[in-house]
Amino acid sequence: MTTFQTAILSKAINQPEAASGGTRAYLQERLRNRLYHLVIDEFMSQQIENPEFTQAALARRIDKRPEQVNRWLSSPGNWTIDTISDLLFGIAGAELEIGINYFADQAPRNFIEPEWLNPEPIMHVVSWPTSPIGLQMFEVTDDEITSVDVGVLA
Amino acid sequence: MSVREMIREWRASGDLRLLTPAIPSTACVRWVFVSKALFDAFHGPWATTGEEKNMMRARATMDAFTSGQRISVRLPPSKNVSAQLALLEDARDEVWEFRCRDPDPQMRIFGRFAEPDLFIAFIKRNRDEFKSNDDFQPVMEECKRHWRTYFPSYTPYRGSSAHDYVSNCYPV
Repeated sequence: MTTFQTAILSKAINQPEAASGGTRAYLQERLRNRLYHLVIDEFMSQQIENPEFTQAALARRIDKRPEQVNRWLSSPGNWTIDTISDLLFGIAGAELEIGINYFADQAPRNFIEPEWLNPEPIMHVVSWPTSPIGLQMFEVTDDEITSVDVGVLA
Repeated sequence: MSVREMIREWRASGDLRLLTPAIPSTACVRWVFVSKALFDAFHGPWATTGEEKNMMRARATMDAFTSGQRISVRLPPSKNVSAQLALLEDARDEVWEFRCRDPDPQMRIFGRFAEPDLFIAFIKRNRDEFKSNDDFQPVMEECKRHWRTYFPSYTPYRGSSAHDYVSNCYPV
């Protein structure tokens, strides 16, 4: 039985020499997705600027079959470096910018779940009753308004 | 009670789990909730290294969705076999399939949209379990049964184009 990963990448970040095949597979797929996102983003941007720029037009530019270009642009894949070069140059007259991100240097995301998952009171409304019995305070959420007893004024 | 409130309750009970990107610094723009069984499948332990690699690649696909990356999306009548996310036919059933195509055996994650950019995933299957299109029908029915268990008063979200379901997508 392979290793149980309670924090999938934290161990690998600290000990890359201990990274499992699963971690490496994750990172490989992640890179494929990131490259696909980059290329498709650029392709869609070029199409907005030039609606006549189709997959067929790209195929002609880079001397590939339209079916091949369609497969590349339909999903991430194990693209060769040459494929990435051809796609970026053919789409935008561009090349890939090379850099490195160190996981250990990256801060964790702040937004870890949708806001509606843990609703908090969004406002307090204070009403001053005519009778000097006490303040009335309300907690207001998306779902309800509840009265909160805050005691008696002197 | 809204569908969000129901998700909240199921999440509080542990029956639905929020699947967030495995890399802690990766942003969350879209949301995926998974059944407990699917959550456990994503996190291990796994019986073999092959299974671990397959599930981790599938996880990376789901994380690409959650992090807001361009996802290729297919709606009928398109027959594009390469799309990352596809609405299965009959489209009225609103059962979707995330397709993790490499390596073999390919992994498929089935579920439905509760809202735009909010996917509820219930089932995983290996692609080689499906010998013909007819073999998808039992999995779709199982997915629908899961939905009725969690959201008996709600129909899944229904749109007319890929952009109705997934922001920033690439229709194929």
